[in-house]
Amino acid sequence: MFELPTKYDVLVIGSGHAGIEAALAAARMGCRTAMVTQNLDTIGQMSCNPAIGGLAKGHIVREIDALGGAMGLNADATGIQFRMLNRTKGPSVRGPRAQCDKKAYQFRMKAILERTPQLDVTQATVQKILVEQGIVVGVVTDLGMTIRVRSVVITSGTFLRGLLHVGETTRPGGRMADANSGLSENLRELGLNTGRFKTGTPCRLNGRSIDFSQCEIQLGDEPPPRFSFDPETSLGGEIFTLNHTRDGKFHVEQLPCWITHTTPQTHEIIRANLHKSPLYAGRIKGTGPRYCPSIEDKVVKFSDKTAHQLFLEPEGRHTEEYYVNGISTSLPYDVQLEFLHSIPGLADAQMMRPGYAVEYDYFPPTQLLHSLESKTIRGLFFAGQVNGTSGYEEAAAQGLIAGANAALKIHERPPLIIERNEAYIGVLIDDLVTKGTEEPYRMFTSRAENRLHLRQDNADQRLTERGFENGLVGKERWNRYQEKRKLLDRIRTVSTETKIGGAPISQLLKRPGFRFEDLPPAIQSIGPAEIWGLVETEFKYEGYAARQSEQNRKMIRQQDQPIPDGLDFARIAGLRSETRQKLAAIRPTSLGHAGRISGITPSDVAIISIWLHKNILQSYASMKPIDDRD
Amino acid sequence: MHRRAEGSPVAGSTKLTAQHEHVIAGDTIAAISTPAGEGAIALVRISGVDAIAVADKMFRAKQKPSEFPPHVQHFGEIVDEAGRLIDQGMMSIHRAPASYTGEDLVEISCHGGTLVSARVLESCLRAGARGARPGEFTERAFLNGKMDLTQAEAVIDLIRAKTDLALRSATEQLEGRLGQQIKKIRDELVALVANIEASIDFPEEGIAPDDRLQLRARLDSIRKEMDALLATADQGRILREGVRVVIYGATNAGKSSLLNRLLGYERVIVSDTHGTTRDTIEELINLRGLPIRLLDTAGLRASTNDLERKGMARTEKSLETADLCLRIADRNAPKPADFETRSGNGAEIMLLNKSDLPEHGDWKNVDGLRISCATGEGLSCLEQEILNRITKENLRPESAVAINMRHRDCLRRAHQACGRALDAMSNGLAPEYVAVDLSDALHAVGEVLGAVDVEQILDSVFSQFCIGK
Repeated sequence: MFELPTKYDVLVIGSGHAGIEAALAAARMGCRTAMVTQNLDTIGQMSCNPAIGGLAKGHIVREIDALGGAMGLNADATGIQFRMLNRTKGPSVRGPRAQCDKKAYQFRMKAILERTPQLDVTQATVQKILVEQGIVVGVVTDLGMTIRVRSVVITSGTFLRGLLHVGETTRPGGRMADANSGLSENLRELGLNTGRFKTGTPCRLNGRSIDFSQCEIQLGDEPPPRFSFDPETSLGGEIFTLNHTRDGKFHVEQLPCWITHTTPQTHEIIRANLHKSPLYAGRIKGTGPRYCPSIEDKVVKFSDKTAHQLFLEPEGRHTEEYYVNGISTSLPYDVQLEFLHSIPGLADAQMMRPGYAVEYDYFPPTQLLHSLESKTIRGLFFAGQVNGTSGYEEAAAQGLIAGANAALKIHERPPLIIERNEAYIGVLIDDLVTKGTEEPYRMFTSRAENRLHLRQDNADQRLTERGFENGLVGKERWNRYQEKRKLLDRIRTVSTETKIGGAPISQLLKRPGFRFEDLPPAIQSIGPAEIWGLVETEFKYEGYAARQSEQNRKMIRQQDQPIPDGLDFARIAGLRSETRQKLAAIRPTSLGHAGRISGITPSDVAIISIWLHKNILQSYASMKPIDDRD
Repeated sequence: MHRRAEGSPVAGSTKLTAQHEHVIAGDTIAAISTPAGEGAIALVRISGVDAIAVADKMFRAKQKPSEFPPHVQHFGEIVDEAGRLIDQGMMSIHRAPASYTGEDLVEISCHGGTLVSARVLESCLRAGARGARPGEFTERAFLNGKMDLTQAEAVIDLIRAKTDLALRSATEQLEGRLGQQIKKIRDELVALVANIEASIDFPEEGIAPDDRLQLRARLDSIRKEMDALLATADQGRILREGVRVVIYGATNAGKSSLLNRLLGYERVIVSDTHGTTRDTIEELINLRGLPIRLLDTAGLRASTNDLERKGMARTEKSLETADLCLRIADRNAPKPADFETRSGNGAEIMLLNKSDLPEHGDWKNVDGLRISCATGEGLSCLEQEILNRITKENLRPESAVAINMRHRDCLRRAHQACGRALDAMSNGLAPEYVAVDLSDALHAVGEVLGAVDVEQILDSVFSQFCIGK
């Protein structure tokens, strides 16, 4: 047994998208931080598609950026195609997305981690979490080394008891060519429950074997929309950085994606081989995501469709590897090859890696507080796919919050809780810890009650202040944001106070056909176009956004009433036994939280509220003289 | 403000108390506090931040209710949202914290009987209150420190018992035809919302969401179903407007005198000159707890006078929308030539007026209730007969009228929200705006059938569209 002489405040297990943000957040907040990964060469790997962002996910990336996270900047630096989805719809449902150079993304991220003060990156496999009296004190690696820590953030992705499936072949692993981890056994011994999920990924092809003339081209947007709000923030020098901002312009040499589709012949081949699919043969027990069905599922469940759309996405600037988006599968190698060749443009495709499915353990997130700390083990945080989510962006968001909260705990400060009406990150975490999830959880804009307010273009206005207060956003960035806010306030004032033809500008901007570009040049020149665009959006959405927040007003007020941690719901007479069971399982932290659990009625909430009131008043009265209250 | 208290219960207790006190200034609720049935007096209560503002909108007295001194009964008129009289009654206001609930509280005493009190409650709801949950007044009283802590268990029991009762009766109702129809409307709305959400969240998945015209058509048809449901739910109109009883007959047969008799005071100018009533006159009366809207019409006779002819056209219209007609004839005069050809559409009571005068031979074989508006003879028989016919024609709402009223209120709000969604589409607004209105509609329907959550929408998305990369 060897004990590492360095003691850490925060130790992060895993170096995926969650682990990266967790480690960077904790280090930025001044904690002595360690990142422990099984393989230093797979830091920040995009295990599935080579893209960051999209609808709702792009919103999350911009929120991460506003909170000082790394994902947006890294995607900006290493993107090879940038698009804004839903351009024809309103601003709240536009989502930025970037195809990234996978290797550049990874290597650049590794370089950033290595150069971050207070952060040590180490290759090791954690086998055991050391817990004393319900509090984390350290970890033990497979080489028998003990590391003393005050907090641990687990971001082990799909690696816990990971099991890979290709056709009838099954082998342990967290990702193709990577070992799995036995940590979940140890966590179960510590009293945590596990569930089992499944996800899949498609095959990768050599671009030289694809006939692109058979495919439709999809180009990036010009100018390319970037994720980060803060172009002044350095993109990290020249290390694996493909794109640069010069003279206020974002320069990218964009690569195209290509679109093709399956054919009736493809579907026939798949149908004839369904018995070889581990999914259909019943070998896979875990629940897969509905929104990311395998091609087997698509063919079976939508049998009347004669074609399914596929996107061929480049995996990088310096590789010929292409990702086939839309054809995730766990059929045997030979079947994959056969059906690929029935697809226009892929008749001679050479498969570089086959598609596969992975089954893995996750920890139902209802075992967590809103801070992402375990309800039962102090100092143990969970983030990312291990919480039952899917997606790089969802993982990164949790990593950031878990890392920040691990640090805040060290500093003995209150946790950083983002509310549902503040950000998609708030919706994500509240859904996870309140409702749990029946399938790998992905964010959709429809999950956000305040969708009109949670726009990708105002994430900085929603979150920079929270980031700054908590030490996630630095002084320089904060100052630049202050400048932007001053400009916004000025344009808002001009809009409400200046009249054109008797109507205030704010009224004109509300009209559906009226754009700020229609204003007289003298007025437009008061502020930059970007700021005018934001203000126009605010006014256009104002009425609807106000109604939407009114819809949610009551819910948010209820959220404020906390339920003490560890309350024994069995003691509350008047609750039905099924209600008590549900409450005991989920352990809501507030009345609002309780009310959002399915099957809990307003009357149940009223009963809990009465009970709490009585008991808290009584215990309070017996503890302290009344006049001591402030 | 954004922080959530964590840590041990002891450390959190100070905060908890403070937050409870802050939160209890709740939204405004209203309910009928007296037991359902035919008591002489019913008590309707309003509690919450806007209770007194709600009272101002629905009560007419010498002063505005917001100017009433507290704890004093004031006489006045209870009116609906259009200012029409529902009933006369007493109101007292009680300002926070000196009230039963500890919030601003308004108490209205009105005439008993399910219908009048239900209409008063409906007026409260339309003026901005929300129907109280079972036991919610007591809950608020407790949480605001108006009851002894030892009573907590009793309050819990009361809420539990009332909730179970309300649930049972709501469940029974929703198993009926009305419930099925609302379910159908909800499912169609969910599918429509799923369509819009899919087009927003999956712009690249090759989904061809219904185009604007198709969406409009689908929404239009959902709205028509709501229309039909609202129209056939006759109770709705009866609660709002009373049973429409139309008095008609030849000129000078005594229509206005009958109205005055039933009203109990001279409301209509009565004269012996033919054709005095040229307009249609409406009065609301309370007939043994039932609200009845009496319509006096212009007399029917061949006339060349333009004004009078217009009056008669209105009479014809009133007859078409009547729940019950009172046809009145002068038995002292000869039978008019067109008497037989005019005879009834639907429920009708034939009245032969002037029983204090000799009967003309023409009326010998005519069936009808003999009355005299001059002496009052036969009028109590008439009242009884009106009640009998209303019961027979099934115009009287079921006893569980309060629950029905809530359903109707929800459906009405859903209908309005669908209308806004259609407007938004017409104005070319992007789908996420339309979604806000449709979400309002789903919330409203959800109040009847249980909330529709995002998982149900997503289920519908994934079953309608093949989504996934």
